[in-house]
Amino acid sequence: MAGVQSKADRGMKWVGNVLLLVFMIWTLVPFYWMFVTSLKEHKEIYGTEATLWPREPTLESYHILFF
Amino acid sequence: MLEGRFQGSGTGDARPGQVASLAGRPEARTSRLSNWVNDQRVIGTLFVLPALAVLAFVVVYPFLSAIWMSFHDKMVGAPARFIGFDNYVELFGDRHFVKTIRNTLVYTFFAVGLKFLLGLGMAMVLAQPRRLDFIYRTILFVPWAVPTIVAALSFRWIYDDFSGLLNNFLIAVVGMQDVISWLGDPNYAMASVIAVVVWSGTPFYTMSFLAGLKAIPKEMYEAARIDGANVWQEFWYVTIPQMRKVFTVVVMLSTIWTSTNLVIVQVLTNGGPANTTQILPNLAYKYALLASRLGIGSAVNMVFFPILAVLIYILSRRMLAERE
Repeated sequence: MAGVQSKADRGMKWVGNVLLLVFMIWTLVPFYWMFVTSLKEHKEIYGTEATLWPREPTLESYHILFF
Repeated sequence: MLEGRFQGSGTGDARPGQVASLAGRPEARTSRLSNWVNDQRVIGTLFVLPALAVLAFVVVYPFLSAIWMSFHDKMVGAPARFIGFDNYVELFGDRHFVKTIRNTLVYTFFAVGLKFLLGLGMAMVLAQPRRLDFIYRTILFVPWAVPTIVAALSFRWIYDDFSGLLNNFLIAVVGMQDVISWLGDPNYAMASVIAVVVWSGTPFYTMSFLAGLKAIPKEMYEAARIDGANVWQEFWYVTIPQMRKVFTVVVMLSTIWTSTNLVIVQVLTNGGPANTTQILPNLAYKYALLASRLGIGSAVNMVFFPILAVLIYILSRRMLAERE
């Protein structure tokens, strides 16, 4: 099957997939950060170092929101 | 006319003489009122009237009222005092105002331009056949679907000097030495704001361009290939010309929407370090709602409106001009 497409076509497919990956990361990172921040404790959010995943995930913020 | 034949039958018959005279004047056969009511144009106008009324109240009246207010000194709650062009004199005497105009033009130009390029790129990527492409389409659409203020707050936090994702990432992964104040440094603030506007607004371009791309018949590409076109030529001679109408509509709409969007600037920088990100809608908001000076706020908009109108005119002339 792959041999049926020209080299340019296969190149374009590859470029397309790489770009798609870049676009997906560009789109999703802010949401990931939003989600992770919502699970952090206050002091970890406003601290001097940012973590990719909270040290102790907490539902404290959701609690304040809903109750 | 039948009544004339059956004399005396039924009630309310027309007599022969009557029928003859009636036949000569057809317009008297039905009353003028029912004629008028059944006229298509009248019915059409009546259907449109409610929409016209809404437009008049919601668009025309506020617009005229804003023009009127710009020539008065009107504080909220106080009666208006006519002051002629004083508001405009005050605006143009302030050098920050001219900077604001310049900021608006720069901001709009780069935001729309980047959205266009990225949107077209995303659309072309999504137009490629792929398994599960509905998932990619949905995910790439989300930034536009999310409320602008949510996006703005999210990025306000990503851009934060010490707790923000961006600085921490750059320091940890790329080895940057010191934090960059993305929203506080006059050199970076505008670019940072534009990045958020682009992030938030590109999906509109992407989806519109994707629809446009899918409407291009495949035979055109095949014909181009037979003529020996390479990928770049296919793009330039088939894709771009076929997309011109979509480009026009999208760019015109987006120019209006982008230039009048005050939310992102307001949330991220509130006009920015030393007015570097101040744009006209924000200035109008500050004068009219924060300082309660409706008169000069309207004047800002009266300056803004012609600039916008000229932009749209230039764009539409350029893009709607038919090439042979």
